Amino acid sequence: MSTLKLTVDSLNVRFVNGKKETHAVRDVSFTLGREKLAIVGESGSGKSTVGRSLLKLHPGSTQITAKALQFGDVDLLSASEKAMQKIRGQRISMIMQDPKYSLNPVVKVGEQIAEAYLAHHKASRSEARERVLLMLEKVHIRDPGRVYNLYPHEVSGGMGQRIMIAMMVITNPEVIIADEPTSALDVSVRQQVLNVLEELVVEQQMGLIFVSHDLNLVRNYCDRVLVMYAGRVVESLAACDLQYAEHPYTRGLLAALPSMDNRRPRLPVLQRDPLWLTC
Amino acid sequence: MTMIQAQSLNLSFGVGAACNQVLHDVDLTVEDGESFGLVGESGSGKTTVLRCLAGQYRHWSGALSIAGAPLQHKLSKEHFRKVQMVFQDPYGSLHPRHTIDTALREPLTIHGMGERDDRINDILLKVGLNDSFRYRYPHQLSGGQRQRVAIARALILEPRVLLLDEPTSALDVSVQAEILNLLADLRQREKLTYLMVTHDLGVVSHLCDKVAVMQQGRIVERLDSQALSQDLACHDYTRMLVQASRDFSAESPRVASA
Repeated sequence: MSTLKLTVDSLNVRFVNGKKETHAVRDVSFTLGREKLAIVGESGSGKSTVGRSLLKLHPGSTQITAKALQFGDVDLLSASEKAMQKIRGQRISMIMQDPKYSLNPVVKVGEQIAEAYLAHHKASRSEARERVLLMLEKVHIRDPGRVYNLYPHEVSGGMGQRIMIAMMVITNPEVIIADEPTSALDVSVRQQVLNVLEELVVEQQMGLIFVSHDLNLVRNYCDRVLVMYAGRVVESLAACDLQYAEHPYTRGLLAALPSMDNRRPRLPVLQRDPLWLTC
Repeated sequence: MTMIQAQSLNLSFGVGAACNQVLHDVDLTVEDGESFGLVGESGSGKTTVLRCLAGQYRHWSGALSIAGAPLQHKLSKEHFRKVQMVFQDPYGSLHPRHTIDTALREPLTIHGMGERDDRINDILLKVGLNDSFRYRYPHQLSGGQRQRVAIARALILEPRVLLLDEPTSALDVSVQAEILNLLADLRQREKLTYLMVTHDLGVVSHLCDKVAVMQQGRIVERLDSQALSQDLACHDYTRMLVQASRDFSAESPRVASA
């Protein structure tokens, strides 16, 4: 693929805490082009850890090993902290899970977005403000002038997440890692936010890594899906083939979703097989 | 018997020019033993209705009653024996430095209920945990276990009404299925009345018999969840919600997201 942005080959992440070692990610390999790649799995399956490893956001004691961790012309494994600082936010940015904890509670949201822009661009404050207002409009916020001056506790969860997206996208990154960006949003707003992300991915030829636990959303939104369980990729398939998934874990996740059209007195609960941990 | 009743409930925040009315004449009736869902997007006022019933907002106007007893603006202790609430975020709703035991003991102390150890053990078993969890802290539990503790915390006073504010939206699908099953079982066993707020139509049609759709502080439509899944909704907004939810659901073809 000529548009290859990211190559990950057998990535392993171990968290070391004294003598205790947690092997959180085991031999994960994938490539990312100009596309939307989903990583799905439950909490604790290591999907967020993969996203964070790409930005080296883990504590210093964490051991990250891989055969290759290549982002464009940069080898992320050997990149210095200074080089990483140039990449974070500007070339790869990350939309975090929860706007409530990710936004600074005592700074106006508009100023927080401007700060992200000013950190990577030489611009005056008023220019930055203009950019921020434009960006807020792009993420479908009515009345951006008013929202600019609000504090995080004054905006709803959905709006908070759109503000996060505005903040992460304002630097025109090449790759966006979205860590459950829509799990706090309503169905009606969700589509808008997803459309915004989609527009940007297409328009600015970005790559998107979409970390989620929502299989149905992923099936309709992304191009490819990696299914993770206990640190391993158990299945990798095209999003449109998800209903033909073969791994019992993927099938279990699909069955556990409550559905409007198929009402059942009880939802089937995932039965875990210890075999999944080894094969 | 009518369990929860709200008549022309109005609520506004701020005064003068900054006055923002968030609830407009909300009428709501939930029968005893029923499971009622409130759906709508963020900011539609669905959680606000719950908060009025739970006594977190006290400057509402209109009439509210629980099990026939009208609500005063200052709520009595007895009210909280009848009505308890489960919050959205199990990470935020449990005190990080209190053990599960402390968290569950506190309501018992406030209400002067005896046999506290037995009650705590009982309630933990009821929500699918056991007494080994008693002396743990919230950070030592998974999200699903924390939500079970939050449900236990609400049920320990043996209420008749449970107000559920998006109880599963912070959880994984596999854990969500477990919690939804637990809530369904508890309702049957304890004869509880549920008033649940959610934006997930799949969840609401799974757990609730009746649904009210809210938009901008008004109830725009009331219907059975059966009717909801059979596309019998009349209001445009409801249809939009159903459509938006269908776009992500299993049976639908890929959406052209232009």
